[in-house]
Amino acid sequence: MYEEIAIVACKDMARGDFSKSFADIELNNESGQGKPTSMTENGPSNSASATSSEPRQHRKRTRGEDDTFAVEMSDGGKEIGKEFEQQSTRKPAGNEDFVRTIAKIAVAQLCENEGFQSFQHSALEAFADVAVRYMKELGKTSNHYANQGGRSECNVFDVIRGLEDLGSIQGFPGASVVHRSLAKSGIVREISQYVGLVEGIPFVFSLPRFPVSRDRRNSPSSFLQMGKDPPEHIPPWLPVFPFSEPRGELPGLGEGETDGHTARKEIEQEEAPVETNPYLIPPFAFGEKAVSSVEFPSRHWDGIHHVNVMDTYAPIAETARNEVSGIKKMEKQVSLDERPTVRLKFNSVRKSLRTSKNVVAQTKGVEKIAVLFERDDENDEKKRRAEQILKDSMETPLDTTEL
Amino acid sequence: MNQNQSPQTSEGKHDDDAALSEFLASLMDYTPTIPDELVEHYLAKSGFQCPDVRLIRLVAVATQKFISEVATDAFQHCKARQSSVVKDKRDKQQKEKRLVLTMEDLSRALREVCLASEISRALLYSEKAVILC
Repeated sequence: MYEEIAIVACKDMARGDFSKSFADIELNNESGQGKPTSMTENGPSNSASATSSEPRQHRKRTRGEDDTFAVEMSDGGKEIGKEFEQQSTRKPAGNEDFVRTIAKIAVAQLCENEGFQSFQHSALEAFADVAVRYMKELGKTSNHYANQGGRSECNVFDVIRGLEDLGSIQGFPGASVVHRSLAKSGIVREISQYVGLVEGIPFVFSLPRFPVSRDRRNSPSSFLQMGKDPPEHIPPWLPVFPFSEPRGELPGLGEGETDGHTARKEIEQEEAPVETNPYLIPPFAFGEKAVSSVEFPSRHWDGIHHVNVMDTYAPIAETARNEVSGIKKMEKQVSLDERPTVRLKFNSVRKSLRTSKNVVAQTKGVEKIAVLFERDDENDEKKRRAEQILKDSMETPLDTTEL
Repeated sequence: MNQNQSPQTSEGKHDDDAALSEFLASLMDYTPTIPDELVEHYLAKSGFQCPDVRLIRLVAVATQKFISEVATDAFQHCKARQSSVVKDKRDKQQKEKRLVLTMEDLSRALREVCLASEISRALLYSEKAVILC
């Protein structure tokens, strides 16, 4: 029953193509044909075209069915093909197909309550689409009315107005009265009657909170929530700086700054010459050389790469910072401006090559390629980042000195 | 006349408000088939912001009512069509008992409750519903 829908949908999701792999799903298993295995059998073949799915369904129908049904189902097959094309053109992003499947299951459950025993998949698809659009439209209209009233959050009356708007084509009791009270709207009365008549049938599955809504609440926390003191001119309700952690590690730098932009620039200025100019790097202690030889397996590499880059930079940056801390800011800029043009040309050529290589590795997305390029990529990634940082920092001090 | 009516309407308004809040409170005991999470997701997508669960329930119940109305309509169409078919071909009457939600019935039912064009545009992709709106 509903599990089949979910299973098939999950298969589709896992395969990456959202092919509609069955004509109809039995709501009642005891109604004879359509064993669960027959629903998933023509999965891959259906994605080809509508014509390929048509004879198959015809055959399936005609073994025990009337001609009219065969005609109908062949039409259904065409529609499935159309649906599939439509589906493949506007690919829903991320969890959208999951939500869509939930909507389909809910609609199928409602249809079952009405007395249907099975359904064409195209019809269910369209019906779920109608339900989703109804909800969206209702939300949009209610939100519109709330905004018109100068509010950002909707209340009951906005929803009732939205319901009246949506029901205005069908008509509802009391719609003709111009100065009617929203509280005793005919729509609400109808809904309360419906609630009284139809007992609530819970959804078949227990659902987790959708990740989308969770993300909506976990907005970047502000200075107030984090309990940090913002710099003078920044109001406390603004979100904290994203790079507050690396700044926190370096206590000598943080006091004098007032602006986040200059802070970032300073960090980049400090790190960039350290990474690219070998003469500025302080000598390693005896055991410290292990930094560059660390290698990660390819599947873990993406996840922890960022952290490790920061970690590997941290001791170097710190030692460098201890040395440079006495020097004034102007002197740093001068030291940066010594050989700008050579570096820039050098960087741009190498960077383009590397980015193209990285793009190839990323777009293919195959693990083999990632393994092939693993070692190169790791080094490349570090250097590329350093170069990017350097390029940014090179451009900005140049501008300031020219001014 | 207006002065005479005004106290009545204000009293009536109080009653209506009480009835409305009572109805909203009763929604908390009612579990609609459309799950709250689904409704919340789509409402959030459309810009609807409300921390009140009762409103989400209200939207869920309204959607459920709409869907079941359309489904009832389609069901009637399905039955009517099947009975007419049965008259023509009595010999295969036994196999006709299966009630299938087809696109044909659905588009007919939706044509009757033809909503705003925004919604019924969903069906314009299908062949049979070109006439819609």
